[in-house]
Order: sequence, then structure tokens, then C-alpha cells
Amino acid sequence: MNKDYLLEKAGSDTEIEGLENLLAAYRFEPGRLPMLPTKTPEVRRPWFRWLTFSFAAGAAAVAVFAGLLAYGRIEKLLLNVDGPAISENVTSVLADRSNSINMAPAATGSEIVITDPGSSRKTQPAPQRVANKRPRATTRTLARATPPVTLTKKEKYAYDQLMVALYITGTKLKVVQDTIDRVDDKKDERADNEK
Amino acid sequence: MPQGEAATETFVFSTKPATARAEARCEQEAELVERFRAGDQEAFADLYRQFAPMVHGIVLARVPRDEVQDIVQEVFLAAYRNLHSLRDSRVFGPWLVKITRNQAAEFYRSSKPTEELPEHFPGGRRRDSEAAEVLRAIRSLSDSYRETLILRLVEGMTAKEIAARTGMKPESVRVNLHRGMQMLREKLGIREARR
Repeated sequence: MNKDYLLEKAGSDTEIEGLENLLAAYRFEPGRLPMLPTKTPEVRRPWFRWLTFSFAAGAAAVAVFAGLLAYGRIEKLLLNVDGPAISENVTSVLADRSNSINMAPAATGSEIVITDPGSSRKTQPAPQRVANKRPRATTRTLARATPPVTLTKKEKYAYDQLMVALYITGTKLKVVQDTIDRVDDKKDERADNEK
Repeated sequence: MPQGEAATETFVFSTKPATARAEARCEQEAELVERFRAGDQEAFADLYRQFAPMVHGIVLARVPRDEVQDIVQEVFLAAYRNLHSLRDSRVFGPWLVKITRNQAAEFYRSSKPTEELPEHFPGGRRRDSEAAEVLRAIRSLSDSYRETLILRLVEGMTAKEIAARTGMKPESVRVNLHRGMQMLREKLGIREARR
């Protein structure tokens, strides 16, 4: 047996050449390329997945923060429904006459009534009698947001902006999740299998 | 699956090319991989042309002949889909060998037990039956011997080419070819001609 021919096809060896000729029928015949998917697989690197996940987490955090911020503003707008100066008045009254202000829950339960017997006559119009016999004192009511709420034009705009922002954020998060789960690749594979 | 003898040789992968020529070829393959990753479909066609004989030989060493072509196609389809996960483009060959072996093993896991149609049935040519007998003798050897012998005798690759393509050490390929050839001669009843 010629080792050179066996290893590097140098020289000749009738025995090995005979085996080669005999087994030539099993040799690979160059043909057409296998049917490959039309879409080129997306190049993904290990760090890319972490970057995507970090981006998604950051976007979600920003969305939540923005949502809370917007919600806080809307709630503030709703609380100021009686007038923009109401909170300032309450603050000044609390600072000046903290010992004479009584805070007590109203009879209806859903309202907070602030009673200010001393200074009300100077700054506010004369108290009016009410049908449910509330104390004869100047009362200011901070109405809590109770549905249904009628929004002003500005509030409606803010609410719509918040909804749009949340919708866009949710859509982007879905795209990121699908990218991580390789949904497109699975769809392509399914489509190829069906074909 | 042909029952091989107890494996005495192990595959040792090496990322260090043996010679400058092999290194140049390795660089060329790496370039093809990078081109494909960049979206060049023709680069994958070149990879197919270069590695299809090797894949064909490894599959032929393990599965019935009728199934070889289908499994070769599946191997390249799997490579096409997963090439983005290959970290080092210089080890495309060993990576493809691993996929090929896995696909061949998967064939036996997923298919029902079958028996290969004998090629020396009445009416068949004598030469075909002889070729089938030699192939059966090769496939009865252990994995390491039968793969290298088929790549050498059927696909016509030299020892250096086998080492460069599969990532095996050149020394291992030489030893496997030499010992495998001796075992094949014993199985075929060929006696050493005294010179």
C-alpha cells in the first residue's frame, strides 16, 4: 500500500485506485442549491439581545413615569375644578389660622369640608343657607374626582395625549418582545413548511 | 445504522491551521461566512459548493444511501438558518460537521426502523454489488475510521483537505486513514502484497 497515495494522492496505488473507481458511484454530484428561505436570517449577536432588553426596560420605565406624571397633573386639574386659587387660599388659611380651622368629614361622606369661622366674612360673600342644614360658616369643598367627570378642553387634550403615548409605548414593547421571541422567524418557518 | 467497532480514535478539533495554505483557505471560508452575514446570498452558494462533498461523505458514512441527499439538504438549511449564531467564522467547517452528525443522528431518532434495499438483487450489475459490499465494509468500521475513509475514497479528498475542512488534526486524519485502510483490507480479505 502506497502511503503517499493514500494520504496525498502522490504517486499511484492500483489497489486504492480500484477502490476509488468502484466507489465513484457514491460520490457527491454537484447539483442545484437546496431550496433556501427567501428572507436572509437576521444577524443577531449575544450583546444585541441584552441591548434590546435594556432598551425595552428603559422604555417601559419612562412610559410608567410619564403615565404617573400625566395622571398626577390630570388629578390636580380635576381637584382645581372649583377654581384655580382654591388651593392657595386653603394654604394661607391653614398658615394664618391653623388653630381655628376644623376639618371634619361632611355628612355625605365623599366630601371634605373645611370650616373657617373667623375670616370668612372678609374674603368671601355672605354664607347662604343650604337645604341640608350645614353649619353656618364659610365652607369650601374640595370635591374628589368622582366619575363621571366632565373634562375641559385642556384636560381632554392632556388625556388624549396620555392615551396616545401609552398606545405607542405598548406597540413598541410588543415589537421588541416579538423580536426577542423571534416570532417572524417562526412564521417564516411555518410558511416554508406549509409550502 | 451500521454497527461500528469500539471507537479507539477520538476527534480532536483544532482551530490552528496546519499550513499556510490551509490558513489561507480558512481565511477565505471566514470571509465567505462574513459576506453571507452581510446579506450576500452568493456567498452561501460558494460555501455549499465547497463543503457539500464533505457533508455528503459524513452522511453517507451513517445513513442509508437513499436518504443521503435529503439529509444533506437539511444540513445546509439548518446551517443557513443558524449561521448567525456562529461566533467564530473561522470554524465554519467543524461547526458544519457537528450539524451533519446531529442531523444524521436525528434521522435515526425520528424515523421508523428500515432496512436498506440490497443493491446486489437479481438483475443488478456485478460492479454495483461490489461497490455496495465495499461501502458496507467501510460503514462497519468505527465512526472516526469510516468518516475519513469515505471522505478519502468516495469524495476524493486528501488527508490535508479532510483536516482543513473538518477541523481534525492532520495527525489524527493520517492515523485514521492508515489504520482504517488496514481494517478495510482485512474485512475485504485483501492480503498485503509483499514487495
